[in-house]
Amino acid sequence: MATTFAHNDDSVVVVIGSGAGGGTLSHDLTRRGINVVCLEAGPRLEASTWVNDYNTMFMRLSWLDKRIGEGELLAGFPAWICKVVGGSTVHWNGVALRFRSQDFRTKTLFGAIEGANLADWPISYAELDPYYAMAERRMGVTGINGNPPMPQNNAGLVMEHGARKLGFKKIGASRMAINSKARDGRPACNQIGFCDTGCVIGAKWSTLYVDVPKAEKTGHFELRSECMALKLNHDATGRVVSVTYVDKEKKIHEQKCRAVAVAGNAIETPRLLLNSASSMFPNGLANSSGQVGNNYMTHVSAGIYAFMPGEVHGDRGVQMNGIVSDMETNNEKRGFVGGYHLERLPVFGFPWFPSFLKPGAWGQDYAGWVEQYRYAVSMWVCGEDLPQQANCVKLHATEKDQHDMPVPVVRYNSHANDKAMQKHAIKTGADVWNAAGAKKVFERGPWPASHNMGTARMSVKAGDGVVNKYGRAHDISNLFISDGSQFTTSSANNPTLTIVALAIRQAEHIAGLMSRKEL
Amino acid sequence: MSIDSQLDSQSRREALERMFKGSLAAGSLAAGSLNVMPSAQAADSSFTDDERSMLEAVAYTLFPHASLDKSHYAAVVMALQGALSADAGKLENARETLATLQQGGFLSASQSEREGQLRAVEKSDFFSVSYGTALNTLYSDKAVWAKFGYGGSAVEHGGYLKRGFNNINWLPRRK
Repeated sequence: MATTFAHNDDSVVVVIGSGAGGGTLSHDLTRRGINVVCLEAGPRLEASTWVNDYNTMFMRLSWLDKRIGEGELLAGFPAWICKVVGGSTVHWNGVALRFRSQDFRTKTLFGAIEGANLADWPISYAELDPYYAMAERRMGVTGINGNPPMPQNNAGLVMEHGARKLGFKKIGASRMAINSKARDGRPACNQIGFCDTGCVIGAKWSTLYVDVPKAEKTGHFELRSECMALKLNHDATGRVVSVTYVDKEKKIHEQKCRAVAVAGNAIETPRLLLNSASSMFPNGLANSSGQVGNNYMTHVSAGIYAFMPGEVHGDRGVQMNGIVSDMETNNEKRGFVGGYHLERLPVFGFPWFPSFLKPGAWGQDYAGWVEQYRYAVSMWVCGEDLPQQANCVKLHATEKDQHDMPVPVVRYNSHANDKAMQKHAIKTGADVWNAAGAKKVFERGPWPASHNMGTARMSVKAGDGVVNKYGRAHDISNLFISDGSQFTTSSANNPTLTIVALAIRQAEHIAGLMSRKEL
Repeated sequence: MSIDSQLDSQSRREALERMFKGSLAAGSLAAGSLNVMPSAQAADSSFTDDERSMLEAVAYTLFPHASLDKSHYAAVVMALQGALSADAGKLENARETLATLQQGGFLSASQSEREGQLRAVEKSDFFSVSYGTALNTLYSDKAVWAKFGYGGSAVEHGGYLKRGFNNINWLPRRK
């Protein structure tokens, strides 16, 4: 029988969210015998019921509750993340890259940059290294630990060819958290495509069918899906004592707790902290620094499509295998700090392809290119995004959602550095396709992925950020942040592997605090 | 019960519009451009044969594919009549715009002349509905996918592991 915990059981750790951060943390706490109640806003879906169809799965997986975008973001849909058990690990493409050691000390490296709110991480690469290794083993990352590299598909081979002709060296299959051989009770990849609409066979790592069931097997875990956390409640000492949430029948509950870990993605996490404001904490919980919600980062992005002289069938196989990393290294002669990767992107397929190739385009010339679908390839830019105070998540003053919770307002504008990097990256990407013999290149930017970071960041000093090097709030000893909100800076690397490594490390830390009676 | 059955077609359409216009399409799609679930409504008899011919010509001008059967554009006309009939304001704008185009000799004009005439009304509600409906009706059709080489759902065929995920034959061989 499934484990359940009483609402007044104040010995449990409440984890909010079941994605890369919350799912991993739940797994790692429960396997140490710590009781966890996980509140997940979305429903629990069965991978076997999914379909290979972009529109259908977009509607099943996406977070569609009202949000307001400002600045460069779309007013009605500022970010594309998931609202399901497993969070955005259902939708992610499996690109599992480590940050590099310099990524943890960009303020030291870049110095003061006008308009940017740079800080060094309070953690070093050396400290995170063993946890990266654990994350990679657990997720079955390809190219290491006896997992074969993911075989390259047609579009990836074209990208490699172009990059090689330009003299690039750091080229090849990416590190993917997709099984390149059967392991961990899951099959090897069948090169289906449709990674980002949910891997129907479960070859791609997702907390939905990896960490959540493992946590359940421990007998220390209760998942409450379709339960949306609304508010964290504290006592007179400022310690969090319970979480108020609403279930799918719209009933309000209060779950008592020993500690809380928030992992709702970098929009919902600060929203919950801000919505938990009280007379003792008028600016929201853990916000004495004023940094909750600030420093929202997405990665500098762009999309570059091209049409090749021969057929490619760019929809076939793993969607984002293939990477060129020569441009990742900082080189200020380029006119910007930081660097970027070129990562292969699926061409998607119909009906999205004609919408994405050149939005709004029509007519004879355009229809002619749409017909050339078999020849199409695409790549995506993932570059370091500078933290800025003004890029932020706030609560709307009057607008409320279906649970009477203030709607989040997400604001993002590119820094001049971001724009210079994007321009450079688009040119490099087009050069790669042209070197491979492209007949036509379509430049598309910006193209934000589901990468949201920085809104409850780690800092050495309490005044510069929200949490310490273990994701523990500077202000509240039993409150933890366990998702990409913790990121002090973005690096040029896809965030998931780092979120997982931090969650593994955080679970170890929380277990230590508990055994020493410090929590 | 699946989530999407809980969402009415309006919120479905709005969500997709938001996505296409926003996170991926960077705000450059015309408003109302997405109508992913084309209306299955029967042809509205209030459209005249002349108007239907005009709608078909507009649909073809937007996305002309000589290799596609006429029936694909007839399907767009069906969907367009449904979409336009659902909104009195859009219907009126459609009638006015169609009359203007017809007076300009749209039916007998060449593709490039037609494109010029459509560009002149690109800001109209009629254009925006026509663009979105044509895009989504035409390119949601599996016969069109097959024609242009998109395989659609692959999981039931065992993916592309044994069906050519790495069968490219025109790249120079690596030394």
